[in-house]
Amino acid sequence: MESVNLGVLAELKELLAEGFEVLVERFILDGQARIDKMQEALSAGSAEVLYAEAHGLKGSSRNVGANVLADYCGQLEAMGYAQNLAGAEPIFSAVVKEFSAVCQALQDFSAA
Amino acid sequence: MGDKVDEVQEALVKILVAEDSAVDRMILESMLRKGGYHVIMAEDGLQAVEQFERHNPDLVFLDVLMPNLNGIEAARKIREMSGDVFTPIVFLTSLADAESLATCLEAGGDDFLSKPYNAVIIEAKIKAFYRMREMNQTMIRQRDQIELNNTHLMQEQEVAKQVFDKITYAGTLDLPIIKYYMSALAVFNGDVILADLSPTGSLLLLLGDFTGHGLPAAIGSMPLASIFHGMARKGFSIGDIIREVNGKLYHTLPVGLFCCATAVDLSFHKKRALIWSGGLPEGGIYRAESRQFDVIRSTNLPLGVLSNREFNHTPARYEMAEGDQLFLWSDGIIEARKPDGNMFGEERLNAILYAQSPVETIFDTVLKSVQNHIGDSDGDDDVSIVSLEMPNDEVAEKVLKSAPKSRGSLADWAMTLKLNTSSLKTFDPLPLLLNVISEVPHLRQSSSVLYTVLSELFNNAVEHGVLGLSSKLKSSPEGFATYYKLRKEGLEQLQDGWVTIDFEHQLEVDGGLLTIRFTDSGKGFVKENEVKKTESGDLHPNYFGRGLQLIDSICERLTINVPGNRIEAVFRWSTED
Repeated sequence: MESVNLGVLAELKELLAEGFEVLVERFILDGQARIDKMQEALSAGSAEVLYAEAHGLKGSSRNVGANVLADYCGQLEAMGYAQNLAGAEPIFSAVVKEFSAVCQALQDFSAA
Repeated sequence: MGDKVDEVQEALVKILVAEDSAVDRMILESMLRKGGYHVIMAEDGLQAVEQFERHNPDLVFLDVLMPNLNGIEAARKIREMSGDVFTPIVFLTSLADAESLATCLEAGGDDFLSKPYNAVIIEAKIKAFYRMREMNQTMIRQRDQIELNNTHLMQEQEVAKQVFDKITYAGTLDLPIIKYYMSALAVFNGDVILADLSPTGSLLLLLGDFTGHGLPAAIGSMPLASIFHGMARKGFSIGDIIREVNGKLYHTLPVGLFCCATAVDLSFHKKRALIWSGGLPEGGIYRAESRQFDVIRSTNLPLGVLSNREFNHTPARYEMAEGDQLFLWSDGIIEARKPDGNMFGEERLNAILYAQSPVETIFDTVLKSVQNHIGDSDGDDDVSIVSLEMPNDEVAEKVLKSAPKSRGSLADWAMTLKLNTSSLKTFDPLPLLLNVISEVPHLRQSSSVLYTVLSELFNNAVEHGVLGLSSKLKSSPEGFATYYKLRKEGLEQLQDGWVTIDFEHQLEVDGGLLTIRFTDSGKGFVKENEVKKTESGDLHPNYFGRGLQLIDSICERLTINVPGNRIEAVFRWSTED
């Protein structure tokens, strides 16, 4: 499965025009910040922070058509909500990996 | 700050977006701007509340999880600030659990918008909510308008009620011999109870029930009350009052609006009641001694239906013994309904009236029984009931102490009207004279008889006196024509002549004496040496013509001086019925 739904990106590009580049930039910065916070939360065992940050990244991911990333975030969000972080590490690794794939895809689309 | 921009954008739909995620914020903002909306942005809950206060947007999009103040708290504050005005709040969330969604709704959310954002769905939601908001604003405007109208109406009714109360003031309803009950709604349903003492020593009472409901029904009671009190205090009879009221209502009320009424004149010393009844349900007299109920049926049409020409204002006479009580009620008492619609009805009423209970208990029993029947239903509650008791002499004397003295009406008086030549030629004094006479209570009833007297005496003075015409001329048809020709010519050619009319009126117990004297400038029609005289030196009645004989039969005394240029008629009237 593609990391990003290209149809969604096309619509966004049409909607935002030159703003699209800014959007990509913000997604990367914002996403990286959230991932950093998730990392800290996992180390500290803070379910609440994990819940909030995963929720935030999930929403943005959906909006840019990054549905695989959104699904992983959704799983972390649920664990955070349930206050049960057992098994969160492997999913978080998947999130990190998928995030960089998404960023790459966005940058490629933006440059194209 | 951005005042000018705000003005330009005033006409646009204003939407506040509060979202902490820069990416999502950017996308939503772009979608909304493209849709032609005026977008106000906030990055957290605190900013959202501030922006709401500053811009008063039409619609709010709120992210749930935001730093500082989260969406739930922001929604609560925004709801508080909106007050009556409906401001739709749409939560931006992809929260999946039902519990979180429920919290959003409790906080005052109206809908959700999930990610990814879809321009079509957003547009649809905005339109739907904007329509709701507009409807809500219309409703609030109308509610405020209604509230305003209602306040206005209440003020008007209050003023109307004050005027109404002043005019229809109870009069002497607080006398110990009167018991009455009017339900709160009754006044503005056209019920009216009036009572007043007459200088003739009678208590006058009227129960009226105008057709219709509300203010229109109540309006008629104003002229009714003002005539009733005005005439009662001047001593006019109940018949005169009823007649005057009828004429007034007939001319002023629209067709279909009239007044069912019973009017009573209770004379304490004559121990009788004169009762005129038109259109109300049967009332009656409860006899204290026999405990029998004598029914009084309505025998006339209601007030305001017939013109005075067709109207019969003659009351019926009923003997009243001490302690007897007269009962009157409006149809509200019979039609009083239970919550289930069951009417009180005549049967229940008659059961009380024919149970041979002591007279003192009847009023309270009837009233309680009706009120119990109605119960808590405040539906068509316009119950009016009144009772009037014939007092013993001691109470009667006390009551009559507050009776007005005849002041507003002509009582003892005299007047002289002298008509000189030019007036005799053109002026008919009879309407003027009758007008004066009708200012005397009770004498008004005799105005047609007095008209006959006055016109006969006036013609007599002009024709036989001033003009010196002989009544012998009138013995043949041709003579009649000649007579009237001579009368006409005589008046036209009249150089010098006059007629003086004197009135003297004195009140007596239960009546009065009116003396009418006509004196003219003529030489008289009898020669001094040819007449038989009465002992007092006046002309013997044998000399009266046909007209004077009629007057003699009407009046108590008729005297003609010798040679016949001064005639005096004495008319006695009485309030005895």
